[in-house]
Amino acid sequence: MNISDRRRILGPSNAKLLTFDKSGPVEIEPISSSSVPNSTSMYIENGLICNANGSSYLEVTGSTSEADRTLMLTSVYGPRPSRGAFNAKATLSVQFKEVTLEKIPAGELKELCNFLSNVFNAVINLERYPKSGIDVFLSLIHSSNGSQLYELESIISTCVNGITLALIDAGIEIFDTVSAGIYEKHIVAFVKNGTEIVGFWKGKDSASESEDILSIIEQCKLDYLKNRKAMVEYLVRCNDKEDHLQHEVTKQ
Amino acid sequence: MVLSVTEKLYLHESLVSNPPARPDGRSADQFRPIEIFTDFLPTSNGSSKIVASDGTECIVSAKCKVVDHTLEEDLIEVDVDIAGHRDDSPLVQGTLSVLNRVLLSQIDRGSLRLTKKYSFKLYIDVLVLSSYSHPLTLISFAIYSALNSTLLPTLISSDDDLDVAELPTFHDYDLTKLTIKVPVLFTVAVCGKNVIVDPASSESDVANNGILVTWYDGKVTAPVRTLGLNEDYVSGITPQSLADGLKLIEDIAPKVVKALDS
Amino acid sequence: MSVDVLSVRKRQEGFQFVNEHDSDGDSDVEMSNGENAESTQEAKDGTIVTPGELVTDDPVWMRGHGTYFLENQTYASVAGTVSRVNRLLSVLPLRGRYAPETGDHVIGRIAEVGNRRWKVDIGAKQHAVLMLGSVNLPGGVLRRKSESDELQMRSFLKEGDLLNAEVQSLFQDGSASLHTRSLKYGKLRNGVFLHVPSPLVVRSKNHTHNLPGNVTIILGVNGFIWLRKTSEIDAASGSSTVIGKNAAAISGSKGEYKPGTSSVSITRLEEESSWEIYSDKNDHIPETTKNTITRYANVIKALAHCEIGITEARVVAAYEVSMAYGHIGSLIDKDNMESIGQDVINAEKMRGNA
Repeated sequence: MNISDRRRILGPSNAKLLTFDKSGPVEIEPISSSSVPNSTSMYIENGLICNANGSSYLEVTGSTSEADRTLMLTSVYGPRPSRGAFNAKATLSVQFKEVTLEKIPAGELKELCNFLSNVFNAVINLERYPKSGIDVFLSLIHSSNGSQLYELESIISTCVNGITLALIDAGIEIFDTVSAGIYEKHIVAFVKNGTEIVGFWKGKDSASESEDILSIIEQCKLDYLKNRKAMVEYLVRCNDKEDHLQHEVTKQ
Repeated sequence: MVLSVTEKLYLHESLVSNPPARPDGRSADQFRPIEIFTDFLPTSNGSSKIVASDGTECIVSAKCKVVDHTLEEDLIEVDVDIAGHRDDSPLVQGTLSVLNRVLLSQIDRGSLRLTKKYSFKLYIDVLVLSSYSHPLTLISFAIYSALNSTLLPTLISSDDDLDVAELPTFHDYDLTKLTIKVPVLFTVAVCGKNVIVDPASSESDVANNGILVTWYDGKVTAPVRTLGLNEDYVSGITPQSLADGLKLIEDIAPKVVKALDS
Repeated sequence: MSVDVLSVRKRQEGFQFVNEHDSDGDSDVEMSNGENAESTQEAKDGTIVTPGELVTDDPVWMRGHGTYFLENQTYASVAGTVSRVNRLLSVLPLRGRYAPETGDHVIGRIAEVGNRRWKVDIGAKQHAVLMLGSVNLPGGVLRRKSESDELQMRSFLKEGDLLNAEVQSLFQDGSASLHTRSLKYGKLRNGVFLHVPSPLVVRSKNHTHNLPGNVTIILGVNGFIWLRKTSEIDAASGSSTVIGKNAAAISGSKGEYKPGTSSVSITRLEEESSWEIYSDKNDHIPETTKNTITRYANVIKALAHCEIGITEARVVAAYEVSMAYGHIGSLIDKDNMESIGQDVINAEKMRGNA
């Protein structure tokens, strides 16, 4: 090894690089409802990272302009054995990282991770996995929102949706397909068809200050239903495609 | 402290019953009694110490510094230290980030303005000596009392110093009271259909979810969010519970602020 | 002010301890400073001494805990009361962690599950040990401990579980070894736990009491207290328990779990040692009982706040006094706690004078 390179962190010599599926993306048209004006569109791709137990890639285009984009790669490792004291149920950890420019203050990221692990603590069937740990890594590839450097609201909702998809991809038991909906700086993560809230986040004051909280939640619910529909549709279509491929293989 | 399974079942069952039977008999909107000492640190501009009945203790000191506000973006800086928790632990980092953001976004910069060029910058140091339940409410009460007892030096030079290359000068011993509105943060625990304020640690352990609510200038403001208070009992809550939680704070926050002011 | 949302006490003057009383000159705390200390009389049994204070200069005394010996003189090393038993001189600390003694009835919380033993937090300086062999396992006394028991120790007692036990013996380092080999010991359920400073609980013959209002209290010598709904066993055993005596009363109540045991057998341990003794479920507890338990918990906290020794009689007296406060939540107020403590002391004085 080069001696002059000592100061650089090279990682262990036997480190494995991220490997991507050679087969290339399953050809699925991006599910989008962009035909409807003033709505977001979502591109979903599962299982991109091979050495994770489950992963998802999400591309969300914002409602106001094409330039508002959030690109998020989520990978789930586990359940894998955890060391240390005995634990009757799995422990969940959520790490967030901005892969390109680091724009979000560290404290805010910690808050975000806390929030997300709270949401998913309520959703993952942790009792099923005693003495183990589930690690979720979120990589924010890109986020832009016109004037702002970043838009935390859309990042949070993308995180929630991304983690859900990655957990499904990893085959980890969850009680319901969680998804988040945004309305006027309010983000609500719902389960059970919008009758229960597992996460509520209001980071900034919005213009609709006078609005009743229940009607805000109702608005978020509409967004949630749309997002969940897209996610479920993707999963169904993916399965169909796989079934189809498998069928062909057996025929040969 | 880890509770046993039966203790948790007992507590949870009591808290979800109607009306909630809290382990110390409090009503849903009742806080634990607190003691506040103010202005005891001679070297800081404002200070407070708060002691809750469960032994949670928190000291806050506010110090000021004159800065050029055209250069300094943030006029308030909070630092949090919680005994027994590492500085990079989620609790400390989360608390720190929430406090910084709340104070920066809610407190009016104008109230710290000194001259056209200079402002006071407040350094708020929070030290939690011992904490047995979620310390955020107590910290915010302490900050509230500290900032409301803060005395700043009185300016004697002119407040129009745009063209004058001169630093502001202060009176030798006269002090002016700082008058700013300070946000207060509340934690609410949701247990079944009930919402209870100021959850003790045992109550937090069996709560279905927690809500952090900020109260500023007579109304609920951002940030509002769910807080998972434990890992065993955390679950979804109905939209109605969330609304109930906000309603509860709207009802009691004026009384709390009055009690803190009195 | 009926029910306040938040009670705030404000103090502007600072929180340093200020001795408001003028010292009368002859304080009862005599410091051993200078030569006059040598001439002072020895501290009598029961007097309060502070660390460094001369207790005696008579070398005949054996020096026990809380004292040290320097140049033929015995000094106190803790703040507490002097205790003289025969020739043994010791100082019992006013505060401090619980020091286990053989035979103590304690309440503990499982801290660790280890190799054939549980580590139990009893509030002492070291965790107590509960060996797998010192507990009753489902199946009765004659059952042999097998390897499978070792493997499923967590199904009996796991981290966080509360149990009451007796200190069986002490190790060299002062840590305790517990046992639960009696029907009155074992896992705790149907109630709430609270913790008071251990010196406030006085060692007595019996630590389990049935209180009015269908509530049973277990006053652990280590200051851990358990309040629960009175069970059939508690009710049958009355306030003083001899295990053999209540055997007949027990068998009927548990019939549903073990059909065919209606006949009275010599030892009930077998029937009692069903899985039920390690159950993690609570019985149904009516709302009123829960409220009573809460009220008891609050008055015990009030007694502890006032530094009043906790006995069954005082708990009941305080409970009766507290009935003046309709709202149980108002009992957490400092003023109310102090007035309850005062009332209990006054009532006791009155009775003493009468």
